[in-house]
Amino acid sequence: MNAPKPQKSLAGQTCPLCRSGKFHLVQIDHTENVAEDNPVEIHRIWVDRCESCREIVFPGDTTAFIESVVAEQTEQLTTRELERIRDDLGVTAQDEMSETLGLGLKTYHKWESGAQFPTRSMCYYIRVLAEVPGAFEFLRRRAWRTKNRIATLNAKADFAAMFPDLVANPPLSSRISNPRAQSARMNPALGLTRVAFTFK
Amino acid sequence: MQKCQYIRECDLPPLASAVEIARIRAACDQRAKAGLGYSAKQSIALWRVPEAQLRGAIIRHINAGRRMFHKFKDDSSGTLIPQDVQANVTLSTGSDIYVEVALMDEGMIIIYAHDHTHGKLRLPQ
Repeated sequence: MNAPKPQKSLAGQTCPLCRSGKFHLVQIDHTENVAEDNPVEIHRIWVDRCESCREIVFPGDTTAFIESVVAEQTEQLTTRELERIRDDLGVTAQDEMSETLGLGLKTYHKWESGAQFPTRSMCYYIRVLAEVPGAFEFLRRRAWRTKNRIATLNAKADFAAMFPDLVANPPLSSRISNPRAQSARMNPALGLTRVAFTFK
Repeated sequence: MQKCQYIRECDLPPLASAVEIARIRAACDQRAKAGLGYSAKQSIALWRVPEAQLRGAIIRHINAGRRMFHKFKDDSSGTLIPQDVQANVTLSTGSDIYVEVALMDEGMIIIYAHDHTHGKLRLPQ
């Protein structure tokens, strides 16, 4: 990919650092240190360089180009890709996308506007959702809330079958007509304690 | 928590003028008019912060009416560096950073953007 020549350049202007040299628009090879183990090499990008102190200034267009190359190399989702994925998934509002993905209200908006990068792991996650619409629907409906529960409120437990010992030997509290003991009978933990003692 | 102390009000350099701040604000609105110095570029790459967020932080700083200052020369002469403005800006991530901007004929260069130097006094906002 060829680096685009910037629309605006500082060529001919005096360097604000050394106050003696002038800037020239030149092409250089640049290494972007995205992570310590993952430097991204970008060749022949346009920068303004001071002829005297050699200070380099990255024009806005060059910075945008570097960001797009880094995004591609690190498998980052670009703003356009995020927008396309959201459209493909049939989500019209960015806020809705934030809520579905379990993010802060403005986070997805920041990603789509380019004000913040999503993490690499989040990019992988969104790619999966984009490729497997069923997974997105599962997420949107929070379908796990009706699945894979050990116990649900509606389920009736057969305590007599689960604790036959308790039926044969009711807890002591049930045989005492003390109001405090009556309320203690409501505590299931007391029954369980008795089961434990019975086993001993 | 990191200890942070600010430069005393009596030791602060003069404030940037409204015209200078308006020029910075206008340059921040257009990517093409805001260049990044090598140091600032390295910092945002290290922080994994898009360049747009840095410009956005400066815009928010200005919109909130926070202060931007001129800068004294390092030679202790008390003279100011012309066309040079510095500020203590808050990124959207919540961290405060030092930003120094040089105003150019058209637009500006963000010369430095870095964490506050440990043990040195910060500019107030």
